Amino acid sequence: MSGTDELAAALGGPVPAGVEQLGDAAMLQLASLVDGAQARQSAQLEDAVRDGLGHVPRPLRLLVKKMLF
Amino acid sequence: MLTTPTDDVARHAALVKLARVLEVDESELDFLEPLDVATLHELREQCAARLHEEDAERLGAVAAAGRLLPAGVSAAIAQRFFGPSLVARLVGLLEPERAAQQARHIDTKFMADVAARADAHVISALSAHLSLTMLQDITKVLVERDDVVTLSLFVGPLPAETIAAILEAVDDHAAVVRIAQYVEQSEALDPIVSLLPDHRVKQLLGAVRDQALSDEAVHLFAQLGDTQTSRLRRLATDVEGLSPLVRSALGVAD
Repeated sequence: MSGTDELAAALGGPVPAGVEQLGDAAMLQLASLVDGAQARQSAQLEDAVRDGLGHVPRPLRLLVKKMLF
Repeated sequence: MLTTPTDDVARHAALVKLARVLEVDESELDFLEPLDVATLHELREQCAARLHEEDAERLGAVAAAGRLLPAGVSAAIAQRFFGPSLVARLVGLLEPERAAQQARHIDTKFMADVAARADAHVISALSAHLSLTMLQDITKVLVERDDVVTLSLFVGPLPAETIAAILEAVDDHAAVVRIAQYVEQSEALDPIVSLLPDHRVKQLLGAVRDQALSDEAVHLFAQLGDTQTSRLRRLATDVEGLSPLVRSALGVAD
């Protein structure tokens, strides 16, 4: 895939016109940063949900768990 | 009269905001330096939308579950486990009143971290429901960190009276000068300056001199109307040692 295609896939939409002037290598680098941010966010969210659930007051824990899983 | 920050300042602000969305150090985005400000804004919005979309369902469920809990409990869990970036996204999903209720249970430094990662519209909605004391405390933390990019987001959405009241609690008299460079709604600056008492304006001018902020001050002065420019010119005559650039910008006679 070209840098434009990789970045478009990472952004989930067309690459802004001005960005293409940066060239393939820069667009691949940017795509990698966006993918990395997504992966970190998803992992952090899963960890937070799992760890946070243990601190939900017991009477509500089952209900909250059902909403989250 | 200038109506926008200079290109360099606006580009720096856009890069800082994009770096925060991507959770990377600004230096990792040096390769984007050739892009203009409008493209950087577009890129940031696309990245933010993509990240929001990626976990939207999960974040929505977390926000819904959080509504079942007492505000203090959900705030404690958010602060301990979710981190400022996720909390900034969650705040955007909550009713501002509920988010403000939770904010009362959250440490001020963490709130400053959240503000640094939140969209301007989230800051605007949330800050309208926070107490003046809380806004002052958050501002003091952001001023200590010299996070003028985040502070600039408060100017415009918040009424000038509120901004002036917040500034009363800030000891750094030049803060408003540094913040002004990054304010996109530059027409909001004149009403704020008009509400600063004379002694405060003199302190501001003294701080501009002491901190060598002539260029930044000239940018702020360029946003002021005739009334405030005349007032600052008058007050500047009481402040010794102002640079020729500042004196010239205000039209102070030699």
